[in-house]
Amino acid sequence: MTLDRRTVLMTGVAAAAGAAGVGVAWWRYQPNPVATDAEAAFWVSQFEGPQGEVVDLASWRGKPLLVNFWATWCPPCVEELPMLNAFYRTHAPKGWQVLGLAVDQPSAVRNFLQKLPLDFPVGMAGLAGTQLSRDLGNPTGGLPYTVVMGVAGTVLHRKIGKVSEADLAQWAQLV
Amino acid sequence: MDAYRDSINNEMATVAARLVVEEGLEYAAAKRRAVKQLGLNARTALPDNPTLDAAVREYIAVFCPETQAADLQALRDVALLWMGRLAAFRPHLGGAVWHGTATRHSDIYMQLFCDDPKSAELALLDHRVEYHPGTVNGWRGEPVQALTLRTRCDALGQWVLVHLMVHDLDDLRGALKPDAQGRKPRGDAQALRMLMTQTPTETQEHLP
Repeated sequence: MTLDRRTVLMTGVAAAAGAAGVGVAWWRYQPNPVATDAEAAFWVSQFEGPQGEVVDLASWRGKPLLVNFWATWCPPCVEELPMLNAFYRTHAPKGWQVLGLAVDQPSAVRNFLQKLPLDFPVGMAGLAGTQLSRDLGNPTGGLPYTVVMGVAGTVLHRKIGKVSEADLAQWAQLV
Repeated sequence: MDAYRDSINNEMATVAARLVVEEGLEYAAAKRRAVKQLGLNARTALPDNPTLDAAVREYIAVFCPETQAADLQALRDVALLWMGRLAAFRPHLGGAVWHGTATRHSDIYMQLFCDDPKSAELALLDHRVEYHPGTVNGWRGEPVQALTLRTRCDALGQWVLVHLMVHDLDDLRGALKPDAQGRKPRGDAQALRMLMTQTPTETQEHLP
């Protein structure tokens, strides 16, 4: 009986969330222009990794980079991580880099990575990560947010929301 | 006559307690069903909540002390996780998970106290968390926005519902006043951690 109640409640959720949010979502999930200096600021930022190591972006410059803002409690983010991991495995030999920036509590991220280890580096962006993603053209800080940076260190492509295989294939052609 | 009424009252409380623990009914629904099950007149006076609460604790202590303790622990872990995620909105846990009578059928109830009443909903939207909006009556009888979301609890191997009641920041002032039984009606993440470090017997009795 309890399980029924849980299932029934959630079947209406997609419709309800859609009805309530579709109009809002339409403008909320359109990327904004990248703030001036945001790219420069991005390339000098440093993050802490899951094991306490330093992820210094200065050393990442000069190669194509896919940055993914995510959180452990964002279902589409969690769904797309294996896809990004596969992308990283296929394209790393061609020079691609992938960075996951977790806008979440470090302890939650560490627990999560134990269950689902990722090949690409992860940085703990914390709440400051929301601001960084806003500066990079994500007006509300919604997740997931993915930014593709080119060899020159400029933003080539952005996507608010879950990435698809088609997006990744297109991005792989960009650089 | 009074003795008869007392024994009926206790019997109703015992039946209702079983419904609360075994089927996860809410107190009011459990009392009504108990009246039906016992074949009593629909106008019979119902047992009050402290009586039912005592009956629930007794039922748990007799029939399922170990499983209930494990269920409670799992639900409190889930509650802590979500309190961390929603830390910006000053989450306070209430209900059976806070008071220590929760079983695997229980939902998690927490109050959020926000500067901007829309901010909690926007946070869920921005994280693409699926939720179900609704309205419930607050402790002063005023309508309060409720956001219900579903989260996976691996320890229990099932889904758990989390109800977030979105209050104004000002409401926090009356929120920690002791209830009729002299218990704190809800507590924040730190209070919950304190509660979880206590021994189970102390948890059952619970601070004033």
